[in-house]
Amino acid sequence: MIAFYEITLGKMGGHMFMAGLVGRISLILVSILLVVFGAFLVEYYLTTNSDRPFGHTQGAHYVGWLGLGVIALTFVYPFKRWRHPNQVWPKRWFQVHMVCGLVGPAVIFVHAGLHFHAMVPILALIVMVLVVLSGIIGQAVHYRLFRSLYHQRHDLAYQGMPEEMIESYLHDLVLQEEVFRWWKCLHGPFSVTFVVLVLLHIGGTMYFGGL
Amino acid sequence: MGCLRTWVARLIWVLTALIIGMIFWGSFRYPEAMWAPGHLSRVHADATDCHGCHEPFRGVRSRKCLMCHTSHRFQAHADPATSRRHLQIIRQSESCLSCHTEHQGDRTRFTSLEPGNPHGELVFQMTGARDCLDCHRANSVKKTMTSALLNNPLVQYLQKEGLGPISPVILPNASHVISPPALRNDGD
Repeated sequence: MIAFYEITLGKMGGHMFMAGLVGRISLILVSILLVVFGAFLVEYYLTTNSDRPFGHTQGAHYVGWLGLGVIALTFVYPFKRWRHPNQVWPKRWFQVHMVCGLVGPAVIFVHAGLHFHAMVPILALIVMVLVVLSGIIGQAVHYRLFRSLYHQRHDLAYQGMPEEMIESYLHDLVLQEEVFRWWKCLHGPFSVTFVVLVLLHIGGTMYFGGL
Repeated sequence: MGCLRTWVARLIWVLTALIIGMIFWGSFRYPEAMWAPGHLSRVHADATDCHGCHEPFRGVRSRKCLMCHTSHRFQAHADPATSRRHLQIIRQSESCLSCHTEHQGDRTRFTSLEPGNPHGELVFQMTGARDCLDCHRANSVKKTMTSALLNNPLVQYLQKEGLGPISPVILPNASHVISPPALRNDGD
């Protein structure tokens, strides 16, 4: 009887977990599509109100720089982690990393619009999407692992450890998880590839378009 | 704790290096495909060298435009009003880019003063015209294109064929009739 309950409840738990996961992934995918579609719509609106495509105007260049500036803020977190690996986890910068990692690319979609011609910006855009998607997956993995450590959280809180230190400790535990270490093989290298392609794109634009 | 499978990261580095190599190689072999934000318009379709118009780190300068579009050519080929207007712009050293633009595709307008093409883009393919000025007179005071026709071989040919106004409706049906000779031999 107990076994029956365990199996049934286990199955139900699994189903609920899968349903929750599918629902959350669907919500994220729909949100991403809406943001991308909205950005393209803004670019289309700006193009129709100009005598030339928005991407060919000075305004589009400013939007590109703005997007780059926002994306540049995402690099503060990994830089701080790389520079001071033993310090307390900079949670605020992690939040900046996540928010700017979504807002910056959305701004870049306005800058790019639905125009695909030159190979270099197309590649930069593709890799940017890979970085964002891997970032979202990483955030989901981090969130789930972080939540799965609630026993440790309670124990540490019971021992009187400050909240900030607990989060930092748990974060370090998350980093040691196999799935997270797998994820690290993708997100970091993709980000560096993106930076290289962006630098090439900016260099090419300056070379042909002027400083 | 770093990456668990370093070969994955290495694979991405190798792919990145290959992409960079491809970009550098492509920049010499296919510069337009690598860098241009769009196709050139039909009037510049024969341009092959980016540096014919672009100066490194200075962009498109009017002096580059004037190497082909000289004041002499304006006087020789454009109607007097258009010629006067452009010669004035050249004297005042205004930028050509304030009105003209490029890399918007071979079937789009390349001057900010042009209205939309009421005939449809097929008119250019069917008649061999390269821009509105091949058939129409520009109003350089109002800075717009007019419906007034020029009296040149292309217009004469189309009128002789009895096609009347070229419209997107009748043009596809008349495709078997139009076989325009290479009428345009100036480059303005």
